[in-house]
Amino acid sequence: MKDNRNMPKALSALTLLVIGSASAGAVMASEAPVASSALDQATAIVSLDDLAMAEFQANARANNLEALATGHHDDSIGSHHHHDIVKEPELNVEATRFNV
Amino acid sequence: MNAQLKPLEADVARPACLMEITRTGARMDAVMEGIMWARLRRMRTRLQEALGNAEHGVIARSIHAIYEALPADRQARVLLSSEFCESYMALDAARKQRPEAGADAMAWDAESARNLCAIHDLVQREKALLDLASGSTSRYLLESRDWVVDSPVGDQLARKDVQGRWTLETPPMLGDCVAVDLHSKVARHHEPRSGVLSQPCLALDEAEQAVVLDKLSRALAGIDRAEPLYGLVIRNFVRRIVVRKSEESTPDVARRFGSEHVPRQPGSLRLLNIHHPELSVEACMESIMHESTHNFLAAWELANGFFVANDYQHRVVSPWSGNPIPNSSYIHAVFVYYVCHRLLKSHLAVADNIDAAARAHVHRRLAVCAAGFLIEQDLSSRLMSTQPLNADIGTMMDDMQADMKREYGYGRQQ
Repeated sequence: MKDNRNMPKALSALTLLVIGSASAGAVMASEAPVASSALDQATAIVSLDDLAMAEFQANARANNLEALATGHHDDSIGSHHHHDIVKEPELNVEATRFNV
Repeated sequence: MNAQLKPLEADVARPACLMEITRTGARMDAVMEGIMWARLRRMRTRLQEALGNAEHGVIARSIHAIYEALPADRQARVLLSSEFCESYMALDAARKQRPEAGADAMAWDAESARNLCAIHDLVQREKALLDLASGSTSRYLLESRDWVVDSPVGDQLARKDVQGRWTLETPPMLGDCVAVDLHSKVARHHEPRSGVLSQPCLALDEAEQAVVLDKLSRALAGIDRAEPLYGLVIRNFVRRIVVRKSEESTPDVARRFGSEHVPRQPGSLRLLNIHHPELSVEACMESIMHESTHNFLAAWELANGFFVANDYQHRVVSPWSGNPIPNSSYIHAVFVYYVCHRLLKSHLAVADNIDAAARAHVHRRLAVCAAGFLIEQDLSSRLMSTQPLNADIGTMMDDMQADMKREYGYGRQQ
């Protein structure tokens, strides 16, 4: 296993923009004008009539992926990725059935 | 930092990019950045779709107007919140189910209205908090019957005092950027099908809150030390950690610990009873990493499409738990156990003050994580899908399995 622990690491520019706006004095938008400009483009709703979702669904289908979210809202067992943090002998059976 | 150029360095539209989390290599930064921006754009498109539906009328017009009044960073906070994703998914499901609902059509109309109102409410909350930060108390807050109003991502709240004055507060934060949610409506919600939120909701006293925050902080520090990139995965893909206490720490109570990620709430994870002193920092590390890996995968799926249709009828017997689980959970599980194994192994290698009990716990968990990979059958062959799958998915699963078999010296001829 390659050891990459000493590589330089930085928080995502988008994360910094998103968390920065809620913490006093932490806005770094002025330090990252390119990210800020990209953010404007990524969030602006310029038209309510474009075909972006249709294009997304066509792309997903072409790649054998499921574009539709239906079912992921469903609350049946299995829709939650649950795991018991530790398996103790006394752990309730009702809880272990949720595990992946 | 250049947020426009970074995503171009990695092809994040193919599932194969997700293997970077197993390698923790130099491209992982670009993959994370690319997935996050792609998800943001996809969420924007989802909102656009909801607002463009003529049936959504005055509420959609009002959502649009409030959204347009927000600066781009606040718009991004709305779009990336778990609450927004949950509501649009429910709205989308109602729209698709209604035409075939017959006598139940009114129930789907009610579901559409409820979720449209939920989106309206969360956009209003973000705007109200922005206004309050600049000294203005909005009509939304003045008319609110609540005493506390949370931001949709959960990292900021407004509180009303007995004089009716509203002030801004910040909830406890992990790693300076992940909200630890001990008290909000989200944290206290009862969800019958959840392994965590279906448990009784008891209040954490001050000492227990301190234990929870200290344990989470030490767990994240341990992850940062063992695999710094995994610390970034958590900070980038998790905005809110919901903590549920369902048991008192009395000696005669059988302990129940758990954690959970729900696909319809990306950016959130749930922890159960981590206030108990018996739960070690190492167990907490694994749990946070486990659920954060789900969040990383879910962010990619939301941006690009889900790995498989959510078919709860066809299930795979998990080689880890022995439970029959949906295909989507099974694919996630392969990544989750690989990543947790890598984290725990690195932790053992770098931690200098780990005691014997914790070391024994980590060795047990390493064995559990590895066990599912050390079966003769290819992991991809267990998938039960009736639809063709993206070829990357099976390849990734089998590559992780082969890697783990190499590590444990398991050959095909054994």
